[in-house]
Amino acid sequence: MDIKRNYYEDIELFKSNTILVWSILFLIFLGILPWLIQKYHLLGMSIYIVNLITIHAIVAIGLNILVGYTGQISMGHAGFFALGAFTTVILILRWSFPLWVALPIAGFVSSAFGFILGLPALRLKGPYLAIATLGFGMTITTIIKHMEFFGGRMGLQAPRLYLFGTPMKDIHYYYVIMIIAVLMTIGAVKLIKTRVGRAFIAIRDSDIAAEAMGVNLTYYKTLAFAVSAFYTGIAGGLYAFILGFINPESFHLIMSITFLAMVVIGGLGSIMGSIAGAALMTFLDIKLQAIQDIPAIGPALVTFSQKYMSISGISNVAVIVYGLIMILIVLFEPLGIFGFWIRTKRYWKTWPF
Amino acid sequence: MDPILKIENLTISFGGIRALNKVSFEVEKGAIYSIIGPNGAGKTTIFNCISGIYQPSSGKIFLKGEDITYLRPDQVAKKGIARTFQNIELFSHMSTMDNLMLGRHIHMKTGIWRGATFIYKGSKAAREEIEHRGKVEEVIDFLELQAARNQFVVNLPYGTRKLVELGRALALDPEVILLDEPSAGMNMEEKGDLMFSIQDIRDDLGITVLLVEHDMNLIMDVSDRILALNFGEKIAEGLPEEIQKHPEVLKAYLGEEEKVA
Ligand SMILES: Nc1ncnc2c1ncn2[C@@H]1O[C@H](COP(=O)(O)OP(=O)(O)O)[C@@H](O)[C@H]1O
Ligand SMILES: [Mg+2]
Repeated sequence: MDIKRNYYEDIELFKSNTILVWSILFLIFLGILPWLIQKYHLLGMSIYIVNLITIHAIVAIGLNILVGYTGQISMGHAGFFALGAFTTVILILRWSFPLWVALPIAGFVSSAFGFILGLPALRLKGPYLAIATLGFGMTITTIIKHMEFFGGRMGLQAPRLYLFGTPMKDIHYYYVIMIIAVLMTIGAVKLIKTRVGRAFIAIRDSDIAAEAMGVNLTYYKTLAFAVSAFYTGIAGGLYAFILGFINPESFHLIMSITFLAMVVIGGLGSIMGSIAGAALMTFLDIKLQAIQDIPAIGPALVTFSQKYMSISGISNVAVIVYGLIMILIVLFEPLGIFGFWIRTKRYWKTWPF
Repeated sequence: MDPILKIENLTISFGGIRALNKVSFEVEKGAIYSIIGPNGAGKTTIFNCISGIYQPSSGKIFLKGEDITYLRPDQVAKKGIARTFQNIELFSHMSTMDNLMLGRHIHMKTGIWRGATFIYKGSKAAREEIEHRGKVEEVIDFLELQAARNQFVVNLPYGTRKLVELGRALALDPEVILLDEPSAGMNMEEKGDLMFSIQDIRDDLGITVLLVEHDMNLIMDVSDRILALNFGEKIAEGLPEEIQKHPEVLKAYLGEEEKVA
C-alpha cells in the first residue's frame, strides 16, 4: 500500500521495455519497408500504395480525434484534405516555399477553416452536424473548382520537388511521409492521454458533466475541429505530391465518407485502429480494382456482373465487395479492427491455458 | 460573517410551470446545508441554476458576495463550485483515475502543443500530470476507491460510480460542493460510509456542502440547516429539529410520514 506509485507510468509512451523493443523493431521495419517491397512485392504492394495508406492514416487519426474521441461527426473532411493539398501546392508553385514550410502552413490554413466550421457545429449534434459538415465539404470543393487561382476545373500540377538536387521519387516521399506520420501518431497518442485529450473524451461521454467540471465547451469543441483539420490538411499536402496532380473533382463526398468508414472500421476512439482502418480500406480499394485476377471467384464475379448488371463489370463488383466487407466488419466487430485486436491480445495473454 | 452562498428570489419557469418561485436562502461557510422536498419540488433546479446550467428568469446568486447568476457552468466551476448529478453523469469510457483527473482540469495548464510533444519525465506537461495524479490519489484514498482506480467506470457497481462522481467533484478542490441525492441506489452500509464521508468533506477538507437527499435519517444526522421546498416554494427553513416538527413540512410529506419519523 505504501509503495510510492510511479505516476509517470500512466502517460508514458513506452510502458515497458518490451513495448520499447517492439517499437524500435517496428521503426526498423518501417525503415526497410521500401526495400522489402521492391524485393519481395509483399501482397503485391507498391511504395505508392504504402504512401497512400500512410497519408490516409494521418487523416484517419485526425478524424478519429474529432469523431471517436470528441463525439462530433464530420462528413466534410475531403474539404480539409483539399484545402491542405491546394494550399501546399500553391505556396510552392506561386511563391516557391520549401515543402517543410508550406506543409505546416497548409495544416494551419486547414485548421483555421476547421475552427470556423466548429463554431456553427457547437449548436448542432448528430445528423444535423453531419449535414452541416457535408455542406462544408461540398462548398470548399465548389469554391476551389470555380476560382482561377486554384487552377479551376483543370486543377493544378504539383511541382517537382528536389532533394539535394535530385528530383524526389516515391521512395523519397515514402520517408518524408512516414516520418511525419510517425511524429503525428505519437503526438496524437500523447495528446489523448493528457489534459486536452481528457477534455475531448469527457465532452463525448457527458458534455454536461464536462462543462460543470470547468471544461469550456466552445473552446474544446472548436479545438477538436481545428486539430482534426490540421491533421487532414497536412495529409492533403502530402497527397498532392504522391498524386502529382490535384483536381477539385477528386475531393468528393465519397472521399469524406471513405475517411469516416476508415475510422469506424478501424475503431472509434483508437489511434492504432485509425491506422489499421486506413490501411485496410485503402488496400481493399486498390486491390479490389483487380478483382478479376483472384483465381476462380474473380472471373465468376465479373461474368455475373456483366450478365446481370452492366458491361463495366469490374468496378461494379469491386464496389459491392467493398461494401459487403464494411457491413460484415461493423456487424461482427462493432468496435472495429481495434476491438478484434483487443480480443486477440487477451487470447494470447491467457494462451495456452 | 457573510454567507459563502446567497440565493435571492430565485425564480424560473418551464413552459408556464413555475419550477421555482422567489426562493431565497443563505449558506454559511463550512455548513452542511440540505434541501428537501417531494419529487418535482425544484431541488435539482436550484442546483442547475447555481451551476449555470439553467438561467433563472429572475433572482440572483452570490458566491462570497460576487454575482454568479449568469455565468456559464465552466465559469462557475472555476469560481470553486463543484457538483454531482442526480442521474450519474460520469465519463463512462474513462477510468476512475481519468474521471478524477478531469476534476483537475481547471488547475492544469497543458495545452495542445505541450500535451502532444512532451518527451520525457521532466517535461513540463509530464511534471504537471505527475503532480496532479498525486492530488487525485489523495482523493482516491479519502474515498477508498483504490480498487476502482484503473477500471473503466462503466464496469463499476452503481454505488461505486456514485462515489467516483463525488471524487471527481472533490478533485476540483471546490469551496462549495453540490450533492444531488448522493445516497440514491446505495445499500445501508454504503449509506453509512457516505454519511461519514460527507462529514469529513466538511470537517477535514473545509468544503461547504449543499445536499439534496431523500433519506431523512441521513439528512437529520448530518445537516446544520435545512430548506424545505414544495412546488417550487420555500415552505420552511431552519435547524433539523425545527424542520422535523414543522407543520407545513409534515403536510408536504403526508403519506410519506414514515420517512420523516
Ligand atoms: N429542463 C426542464 N424542462 C422542463 N421542465 C423542467 C426542467 N427541469 C425541471 N423541470 C420541472 O421543474 C420541476 C422541478 O424539477 P426538479 O428540480 O428536477 O425537481 P426535484 O425536486 O425532484 O429535483 C418539475 O416540475 C420538473 O418537471
Ligand atoms: Mg431532483
